[in-house]
Amino acid sequence: MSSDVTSREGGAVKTPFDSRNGEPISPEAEVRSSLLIRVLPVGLVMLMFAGVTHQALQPLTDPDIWWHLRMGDELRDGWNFGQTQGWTPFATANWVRTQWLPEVVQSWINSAFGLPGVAWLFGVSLMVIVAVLYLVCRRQAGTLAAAVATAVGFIGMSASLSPRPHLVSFVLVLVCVDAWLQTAQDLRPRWWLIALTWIWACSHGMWFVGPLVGLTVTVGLVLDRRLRRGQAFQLFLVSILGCVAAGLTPVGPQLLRTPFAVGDISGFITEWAPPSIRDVAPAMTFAVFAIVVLMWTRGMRVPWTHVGLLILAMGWALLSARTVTLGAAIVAPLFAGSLQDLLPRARARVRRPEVASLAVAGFVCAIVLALAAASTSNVPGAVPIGLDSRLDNLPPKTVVLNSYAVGGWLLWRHPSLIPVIDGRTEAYTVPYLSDYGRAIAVVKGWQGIVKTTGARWALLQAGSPLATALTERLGWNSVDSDRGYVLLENPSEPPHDPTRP
Amino acid sequence: MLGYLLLIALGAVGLMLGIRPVGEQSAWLHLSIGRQLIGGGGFGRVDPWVPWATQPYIPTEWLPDVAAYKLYELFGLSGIAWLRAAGVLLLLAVTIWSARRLADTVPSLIAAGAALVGAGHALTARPQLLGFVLLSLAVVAWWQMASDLRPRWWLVPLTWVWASSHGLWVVGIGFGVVTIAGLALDRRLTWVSARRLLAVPALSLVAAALTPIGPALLLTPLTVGRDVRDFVGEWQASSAHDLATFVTLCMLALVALSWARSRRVPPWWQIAHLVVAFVATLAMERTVAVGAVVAAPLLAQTMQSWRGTPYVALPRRDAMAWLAMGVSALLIAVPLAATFAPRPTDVPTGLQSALSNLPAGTVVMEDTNMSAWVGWVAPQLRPVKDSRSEIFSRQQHLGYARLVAAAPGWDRILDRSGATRALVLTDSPLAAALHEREGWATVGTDDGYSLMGRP
Repeated sequence: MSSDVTSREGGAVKTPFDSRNGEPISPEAEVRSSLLIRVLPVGLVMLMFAGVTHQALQPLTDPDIWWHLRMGDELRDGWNFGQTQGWTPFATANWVRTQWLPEVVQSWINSAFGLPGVAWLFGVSLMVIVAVLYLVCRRQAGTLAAAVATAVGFIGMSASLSPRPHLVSFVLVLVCVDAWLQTAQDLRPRWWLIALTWIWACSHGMWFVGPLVGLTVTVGLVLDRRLRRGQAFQLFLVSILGCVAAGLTPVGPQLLRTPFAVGDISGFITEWAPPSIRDVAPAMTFAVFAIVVLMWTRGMRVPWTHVGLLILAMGWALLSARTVTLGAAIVAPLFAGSLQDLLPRARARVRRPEVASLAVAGFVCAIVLALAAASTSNVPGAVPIGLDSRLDNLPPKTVVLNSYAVGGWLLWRHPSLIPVIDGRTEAYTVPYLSDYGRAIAVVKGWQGIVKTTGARWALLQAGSPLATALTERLGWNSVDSDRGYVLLENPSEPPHDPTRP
Repeated sequence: MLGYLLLIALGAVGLMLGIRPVGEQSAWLHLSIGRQLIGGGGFGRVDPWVPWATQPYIPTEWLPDVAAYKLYELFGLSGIAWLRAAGVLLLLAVTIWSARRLADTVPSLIAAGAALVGAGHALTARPQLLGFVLLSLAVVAWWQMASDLRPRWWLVPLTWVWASSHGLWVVGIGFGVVTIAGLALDRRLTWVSARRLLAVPALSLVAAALTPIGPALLLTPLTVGRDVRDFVGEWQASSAHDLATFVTLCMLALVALSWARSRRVPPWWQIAHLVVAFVATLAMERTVAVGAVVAAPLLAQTMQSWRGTPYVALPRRDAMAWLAMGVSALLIAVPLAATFAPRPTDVPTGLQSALSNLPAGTVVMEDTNMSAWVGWVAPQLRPVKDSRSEIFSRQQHLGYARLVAAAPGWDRILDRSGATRALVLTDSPLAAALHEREGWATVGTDDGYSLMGRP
């Protein structure tokens, strides 16, 4: 084999913790950068604020937002953290309130300001993600590299940015990664991460990603031989106590089991399906991975902490469409740091005017959002609101054979009705989900499954195989339709209460 | 000793993967094509099997199709199973060779074994397997050329054979161009050496145009499947949940992260190989094996670097012993194939006589997974659509999908097709719809399939 590899320039191997990429350059050593390079990148971030503002000025269409609102409404009315009683007799699996804190906030906002308020909250959350992403990248790079990494990272995160509590996870993972990257520099434990993990555990089921990031960095530091035994113990303790804190929320220790509950039912949930490189967000994220690795191979020797974080990010990005967002968030500061290495100018520290300008831009966008959302987001999107009056007239406890996408909306808007399925997939057993899938696909035995539900009414997508089969083969009547959904009635069956044996 | 044990284990795994009853749907399709070509028939403007197909079928894999059918005539399905085993063993042998040129025995065998797992989806009785054997040969050739900058002209006739066997030939040419580009970035090429190296892929392209298919073959990579990729499972993006994809990604990750941690800077041409492998692995299920084959020598070299010592070339005596073991494996495969793979699997053989007895020209609505087998055992029938996806329009694919799902309008699509029989999964929406709505009767069932007839 020919000797076609070369030693890295500079003789001795460098690490990213030397002055060029570690501590901020002191004022005396700060290099003057042109106004254009300082201003334009910040302008790009402001443009992103405007972009997410526009994204939020739409009717709310995520199918899960409705049952989250009902969760929050009911929790505020009694503060019972137990099972969601009386919603539907079909959801028989153990349901743990893993997202109660943002659900309560969302419910309060909705009570005070209606759906425009919820849309406003969504837009502000997106701006917070952009801002935190930029500041995290900025801690690793100058304005230009950080802005580019922010834009690319946001695209990578975009597939899962919907008005749901998981936005909290996406913000907090950025905060955690930044905190641990700082720890990787100064080796000091950030004990406040324990409290942050408690808040995270009250907000979303991905709380365990925080301790996982911590463990990854700590193991990396051990492999880099940068820790004394006492230091390693302290850093491991931060992650372990974070997990302990997660068991001390009002939900109780059962929260610690919830990360493992998704596995059995993931096959039924589209967003837990593997990502495709043909979609923009995964493609962008995988491209970032490739660029980071490419730069690492041509640059300085990379510490194990960075390698570990990259592996963690890749693992999340490859796991499912939903977790591509996590992978994009974790790799963003690494990408920013790699980009900074390509630039001739040293990283300038974060300046007060920079932060102030972003804060002002964010504030202005929030005002615009508040004013405009009243007209753009006051009615739900993607649900058949034209059928509301007919559904309101159905007797209480009427079972509705529904499409998955409208289950949450039925729970919130028509709480007296009983949908056969909704977006709380973990609340249903695997056999039930399998039967529902068979009925929707109209495979052999579908009639028996429909009969078992006791449904006399159906709210299904117009033209779906089940809607077609109900009308053509079982003689169900089409009563009305709206926004691509059709309301069907079985004229031959007497009313049946599935809550009775 | 460990090396020989690993080699025997890999060979045994290769034999196990190869010697199994024939059940791949593509196997029946390619046997049918071989029968058609040898019988003097062809594929003209009007398809001989599905007259309503909108595109003519181009038998781009004619060489292995003809060879496989000849082997079938002599030895039956056992011969096809043996051919599959031979392909797997040959792929393994070439991959081992590509790795052993860069690393000692143990790391090279580990890399080759990982590549075999990564190429798992390609280890089937179809011309694709030959395509991957030839790809692994091309990878070896380009590593040699990157090492000494001397062109390997034997790639040109190899590409002719490749272009007569499978569409992967275009990947071989692209791989060469990427390697040359990497060498240029490494500043190792002069104008003279660059021209000489570029002549290899250029002449390979010319060779591909000189097959009996003609220059039209050069356009098939651009046109085949362009409109219908969404309807073919193996053309969908791959998933890390799949073992082959996961193992291949692990191979690439080990190489990349080892480079990141190393004091040595890898050359651009090897980085280019890594990028090609990464993209191929994620692009679609069908190309994961490309990633695995390309990754094998990279991983072997990386693992050797962990040892900290230069590799020791395989002694001639050991090389002859390995070759003898390979030939022995091929010979052992003969009685094994005759014993374990004389009959097909995963097909409703219980319905074969009913299908064979149907009048010539009967239109049958066939499940996609069975159309090739039906075409093989009952060539007198006319399927609504068969597995040669590229000869049907997007409209036909959409109509077929609606029919299979019993979606609105399915009955009109069925009526327009003229189908009087259906071979469908017993537990399928269409089977339920035919029975409940149209009153079709079940003529027979076997292996999860039902043959139904119009009343």
